[in-house]
Amino acid sequence: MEMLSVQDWVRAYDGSKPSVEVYCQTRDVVQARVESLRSSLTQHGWSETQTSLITAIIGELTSNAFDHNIGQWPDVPGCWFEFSNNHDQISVTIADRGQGVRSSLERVRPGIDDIQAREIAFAEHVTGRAPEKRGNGLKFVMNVLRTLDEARFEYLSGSTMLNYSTQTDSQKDIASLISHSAGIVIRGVYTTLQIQKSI
Amino acid sequence: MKLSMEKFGNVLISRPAGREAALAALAYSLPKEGDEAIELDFSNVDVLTPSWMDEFMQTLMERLPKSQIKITEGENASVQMTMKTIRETTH
Repeated sequence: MEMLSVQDWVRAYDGSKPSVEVYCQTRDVVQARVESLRSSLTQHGWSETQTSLITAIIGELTSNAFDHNIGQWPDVPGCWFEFSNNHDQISVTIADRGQGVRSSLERVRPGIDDIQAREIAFAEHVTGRAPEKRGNGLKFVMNVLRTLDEARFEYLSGSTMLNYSTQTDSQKDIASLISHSAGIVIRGVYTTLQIQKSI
Repeated sequence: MKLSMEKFGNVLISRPAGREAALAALAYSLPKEGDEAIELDFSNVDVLTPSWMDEFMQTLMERLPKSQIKITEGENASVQMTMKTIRETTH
């Protein structure tokens, strides 16, 4: 049977469970794999600072899949998580078929579109889990990315994407990083991250 | 009194874990009454996220006033960035 790609999985109308190598149905499974990523960084000689920051943002991004969808999964619960570490660069993919950013935030900001939802998620202290007073996770991710020497970050949900590269975007505000994703519609959230080891 | 946060683990990431840690601290580690200052010492924590910290603090503050709690960040980069992000978004 042909392997399902993560792009196909998050775009498909009907969900199916990914292969066991990448599928994390529950939070404890993904947490164990994030811990494995951390060990991999340490083994490959990444600095304590980079290891700590990268583990933290991957932890936030994977936690979001569960925090905002628990009991709300439209079809397949959990997330897709995979990473590769080729010594000097780590690549991470995280995806879920949850309700997505706009649907989550519409509860507290009715009538917003995909672009507005993305701006709120990355720039304001607002969470779809109101009345809980939270919503720091994606701001934290951006704060960390802006400290790294070389990183690329792509965050898609619904029909919009946020693209960030340290080489071209370090001085740009959040609004200017967000655009329509040219006909691609993601059912939940799809994130990729590439980070280069600092010398 | 000082509470060494590493007792809850060196990697503090998820919301449920933050809440669980706060409930355990309230039950077993923190004084049940009085206004003694409580220092949360993150010196030996390796990874911290805002989700864990938000959940820990909000659960703690259901029983304790914020003014009674003092935070020692230490040198870890994720701890410092977590505190910076929380300060930026709540002030």
